[in-house]
Amino acid sequence: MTDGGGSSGAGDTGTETATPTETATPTEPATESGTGTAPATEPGDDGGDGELRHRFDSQVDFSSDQLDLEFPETEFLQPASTSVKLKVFGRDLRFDDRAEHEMWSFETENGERSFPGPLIRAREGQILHATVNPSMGPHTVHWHGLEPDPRNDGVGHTSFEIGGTYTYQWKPEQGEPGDANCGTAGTYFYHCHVNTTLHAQMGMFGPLIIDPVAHPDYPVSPGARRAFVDGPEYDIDTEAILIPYSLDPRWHELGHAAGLSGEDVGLNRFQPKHFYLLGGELARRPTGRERVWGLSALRANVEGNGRKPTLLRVLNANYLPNLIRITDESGAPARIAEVISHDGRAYRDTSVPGTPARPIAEAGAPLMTSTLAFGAAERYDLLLRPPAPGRYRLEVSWKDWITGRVVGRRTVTITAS
Amino acid sequence: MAEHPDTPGPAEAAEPVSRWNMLKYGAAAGVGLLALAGGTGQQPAQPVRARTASAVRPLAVTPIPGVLDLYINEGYLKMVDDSLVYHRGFGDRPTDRSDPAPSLAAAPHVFTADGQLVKSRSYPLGAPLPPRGTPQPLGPDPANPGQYFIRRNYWASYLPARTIVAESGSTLRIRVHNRLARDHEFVLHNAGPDGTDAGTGRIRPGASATLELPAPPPGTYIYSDPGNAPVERALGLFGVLVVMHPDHRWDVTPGKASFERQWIWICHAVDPAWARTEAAGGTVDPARTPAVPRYFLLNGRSGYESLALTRNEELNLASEEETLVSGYPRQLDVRQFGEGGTAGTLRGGQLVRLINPGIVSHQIHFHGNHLWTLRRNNRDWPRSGGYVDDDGHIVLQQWEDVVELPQMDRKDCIIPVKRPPDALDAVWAARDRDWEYPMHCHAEPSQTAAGGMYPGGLVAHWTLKGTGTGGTR
Repeated sequence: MTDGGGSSGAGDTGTETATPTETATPTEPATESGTGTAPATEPGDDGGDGELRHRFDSQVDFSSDQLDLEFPETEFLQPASTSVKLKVFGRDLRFDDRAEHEMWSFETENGERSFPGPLIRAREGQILHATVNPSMGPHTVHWHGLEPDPRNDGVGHTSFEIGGTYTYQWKPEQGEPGDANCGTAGTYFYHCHVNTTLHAQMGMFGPLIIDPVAHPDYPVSPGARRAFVDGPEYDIDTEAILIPYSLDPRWHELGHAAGLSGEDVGLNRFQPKHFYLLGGELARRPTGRERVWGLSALRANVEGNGRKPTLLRVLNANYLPNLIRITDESGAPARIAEVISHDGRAYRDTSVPGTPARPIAEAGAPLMTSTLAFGAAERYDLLLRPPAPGRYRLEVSWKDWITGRVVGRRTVTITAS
Repeated sequence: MAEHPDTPGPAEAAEPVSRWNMLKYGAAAGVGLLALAGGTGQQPAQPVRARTASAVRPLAVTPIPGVLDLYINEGYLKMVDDSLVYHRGFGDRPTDRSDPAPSLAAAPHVFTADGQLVKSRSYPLGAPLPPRGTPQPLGPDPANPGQYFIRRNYWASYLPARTIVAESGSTLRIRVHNRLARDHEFVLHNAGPDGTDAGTGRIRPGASATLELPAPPPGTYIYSDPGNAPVERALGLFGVLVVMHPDHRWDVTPGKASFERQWIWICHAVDPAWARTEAAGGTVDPARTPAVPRYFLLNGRSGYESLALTRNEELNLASEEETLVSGYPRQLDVRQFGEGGTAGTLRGGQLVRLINPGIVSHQIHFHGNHLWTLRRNNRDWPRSGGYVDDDGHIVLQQWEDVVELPQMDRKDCIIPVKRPPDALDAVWAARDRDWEYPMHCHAEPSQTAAGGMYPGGLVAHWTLKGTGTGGTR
């Protein structure tokens, strides 16, 4: 119901004829301020830590002035069940398309300088220590998806960046059977959270897995492990991780602090030219120096072959939306993947308050699929359940974050036996 | 139109526009004006007079009770690096292109079930305003050290600009005035019968049109100008409609999840090159000129402005009230967000409505707590059963630390505001200050401003409160 130019738009409402006035003065007077409870803190307060909250004159000031501590203290340091030491390296690495790129990543003390960073594996209910010795400028480690206190969360602007050494400490929450409110077993990753847009793309990340506590009601078969405390068993031997990663070579010419002083270094433009599938079977990561761990093939156990199903962990380590499609040899969609958990949390039936929240498959609704869509930093755990021996194709496509157009594709073969 | 007495109005500039204002603005903007070209090194296009002849531009109309007037304006907005970028928007007063404070995002309004239109920065009307945005707890939870009993059905929620709230049973009456030189349109997406779009149809330059429709079912909706999609939207012609049931003002929908307060998060990305083309009278062809967003905003703010770390305390306060999630830790049972064990308390978290009228696909990542996703695009996800849809997305209520948010998507999530599960007991027991955690988009180019300045993009933090109110030691 469009009205003519300059005439009333109110005729259709039948309430009043409004004639445009000659004034641009707002017709609504400003109202008084609210009458709610008095603020707990005054402007400029810190919210309670006793120090004036930092304020900045500009975005450049904020970007270029993060708290950088040489040797911050780990508060309440306690004995750990798992300890790792991480160093930072930079190296030109060759990928499976024979392209070489300057990569930055994490390594253990063995100095292998491989990419992605080493797998870190911890257990629910047990303390992990990760001592980080950055080089090439300050860095942090953020344990993506784990939720410790802010000092151990690894983010500069809510805690500190590390110039010298820091030991991160956290304890993954323990799961309980049938409880959707607790439990952390699942797939994660860790990454640097300094100038993250650049540093994560440069390769400063690695896979992180939390295993569940053992529960007497859920014994584990030889050669198997549970995905979460009351979750399904899977075959340790064929457990694998698939990490889609795309790479914009222009970014790999930049320096540690690129853009932080206000210069335009084009970090808003991610235009990958290379598309990689990293990872593989966890028990068979190649050793040796300066290697890129690339995924070339997958195996999957067929039901009835005497082994538990294969668990495929999926981690999106790039900045674009991904799509997985699994097809059989004829090219038809193959619904052989059962999605059991996401971002370190099991899918459960939570429909009846006060009763156990059973894993969704156990409640009668397994999330079977041939297709999985997932974006940056998401993780999914898939049980592969091929009905019979044979070969399947798993295709990963990358989509532009604005147009949705497919910009890259890779495929691997799944051999079911 | 009624004014809600308990809520402050926006700081609107009533100053008439003049060349003098423009000159003042230009001088104050300094570097910003030089940056108008968006970092290309070109001489900036000066914010010259509007192309529309003033004779056909609707000025402020006489208000009609119960009718919301929206003016399609244009103007220049300051980005987080002080650049000025041309925008269009649905404002609530007529302003010209040269206005130093153009009205490009209407102040929040509420259509009530009893037929009123109320200008209000908060909802429910009359509910107490949470101090600096933080709902205060009822008191310590003696059984759970460091945790609190949460008030149920008590606190109001602040609303960001561009928000319209409608109560079920109300009739939306929106009169849109096109003050620009080309046709425009106002569409409430999926808000019409059976989820169809409801709109004004094309509005010619200088013309006005009225949209009247009953409030759609409770949920989260986007309004925009769908013209030359997504260009007009990218230029700023968008906003949000939230529909609440008047008898369930703290429930996502009647009988569904209750929340302590809600946060409306509106994502947006800005491409100055597109803006420059349109400002100069051209028309962007989005297929031939792909968007290259350079600024990424949450509720109209980026980087340190969104994080409330500026020296402008008014701006900081607005961000705390509207964007920066905060609350006191509590016990929670994800199987039932409702009445707590003590009368008047809530066993539940806070609602975050993630809304993306922007042009990039976001990945909303919270540190410190996973979010529980309830529904997508106003469709409740089930708690049992569930399935993987044809696009490969899991349709089942679930925990997530990264929430996919494609263009035009709306997701309703509960942030539990609970003790971070992986902190050591000793650290938790010694907590003597607020704990702040980041929220950011993990599609990381969105974390930049003007090609760098991390973290200068779509970023926020959330605060687990607890200082000095007992129970933290």
